[in-house]
Amino acid sequence: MSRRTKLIIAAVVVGLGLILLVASVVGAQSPGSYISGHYKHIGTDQGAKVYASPKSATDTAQDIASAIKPADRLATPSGVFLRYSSDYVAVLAQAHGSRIEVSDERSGYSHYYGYVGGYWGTYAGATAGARGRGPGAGK
Amino acid sequence: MSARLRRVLAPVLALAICPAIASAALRAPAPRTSAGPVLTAGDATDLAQNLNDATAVQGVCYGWRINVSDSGSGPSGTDEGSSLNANSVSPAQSCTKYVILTADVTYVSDSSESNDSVSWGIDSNLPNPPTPADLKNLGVGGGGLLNDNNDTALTNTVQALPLVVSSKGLAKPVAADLTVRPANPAAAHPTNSPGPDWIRQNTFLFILALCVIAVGLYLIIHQYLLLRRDRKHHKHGEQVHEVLREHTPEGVAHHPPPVQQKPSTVVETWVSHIEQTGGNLPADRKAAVLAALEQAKESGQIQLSAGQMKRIRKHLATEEGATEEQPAAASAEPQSPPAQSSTPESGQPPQQ
Repeated sequence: MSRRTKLIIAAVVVGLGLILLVASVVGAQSPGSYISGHYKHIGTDQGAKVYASPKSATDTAQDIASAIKPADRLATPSGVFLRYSSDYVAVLAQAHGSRIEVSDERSGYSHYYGYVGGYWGTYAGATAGARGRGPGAGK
Repeated sequence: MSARLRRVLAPVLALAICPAIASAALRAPAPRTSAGPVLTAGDATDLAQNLNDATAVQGVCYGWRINVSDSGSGPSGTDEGSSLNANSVSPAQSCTKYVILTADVTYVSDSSESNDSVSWGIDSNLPNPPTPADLKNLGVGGGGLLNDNNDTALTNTVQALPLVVSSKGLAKPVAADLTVRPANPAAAHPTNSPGPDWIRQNTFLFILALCVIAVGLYLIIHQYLLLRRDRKHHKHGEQVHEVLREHTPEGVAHHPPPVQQKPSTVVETWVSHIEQTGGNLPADRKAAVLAALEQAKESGQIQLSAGQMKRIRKHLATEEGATEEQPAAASAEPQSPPAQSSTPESGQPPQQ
């Protein structure tokens, strides 16, 4: 096999790697698109898209986290908060099923500040009803 | 007590006890007075308050008891608290319904051969209480207590208990309070932005793609370097042949050298060739070859070492005593006819 043939084969290998790389990027799904495809959209709330799930909050959170792995998650008595690169997903417990809210990072941090404030960002005091500053805040 | 009496008394007791729990829960839990091995006093108090809010809604007391054994430099002891007291789990265990998270954590020193370990458990009097598996499915518990952020892991796990209880239909869900806002909105913003979601989703494919690209690039660079070396060898071999063209016996084809041979090998082959046959050349041919080699060496066409030149001069020296110091061409005189029979077949060096 000539050197030129081997060079062509090597170039093909690189091309294959680039195709795999593009596939890994393009084939990924955002949490918003997954949720909109699997749960019923019921409206918006302070900029957050709201969906309804017939399953419990724990099952719903597990379903979403299994499909789109979050960077971080926060469990609270009221629900589970999932953090993605540019989205926050809140899965809140309801009497029947659960409520899913999808917010962008900036508005989500303010919207869920009572829970995620001090955990996923800076803590800048709180209006009445604050639930804590996040572990380590008092260290 | 008869079954009928129990049926009658049960609702009465429940009505009597639930308000007692509710009133206890409505009172703020006693704050933590000192730091535990996992949580600071402030974190424990905040956690107890959050659990207290859940207890007020659900009528279920919550607590935690974490036994820490650290053979290194960290603190050991028991970190405990409950929705009724941030210092103790005992008040919660007196409730009609309670769920207590327990764990035994062992941190070993860096020099130890064994690893850190944690075992979780649930102490509850509920009929279908949360289990460590439920917590793990939710992404909490597990090995989180072994990480640096063990305080966050513990808080996350304990706070998940009321959520699991409500998800199992054992109590009402705790409504989220989304009215809290930062006192200074300008200073409140998310930090430590996580990496792209697609990397977490397609980690295997991403790593595979990088490996394939790396292999391909290696092959390209490797083959390019070999191709460049081949060209260099071929060029050098042609230069050697050009210089020694006169040494090629008549009637023998003068082929370019094989590209696989290193320049040093080509030259060494020619030096050996001269050692074997150079002595049989006529004086004028010896002088001509030597002169050509000297000139090629000077101009850099052929890379000859001092040792190789010495060997060449030794065999191409003329009888008149042309020495290493004297240019061979100057003393060259015809001695005998060309010794074609003693010359290796062709000007081409033998292949390796």
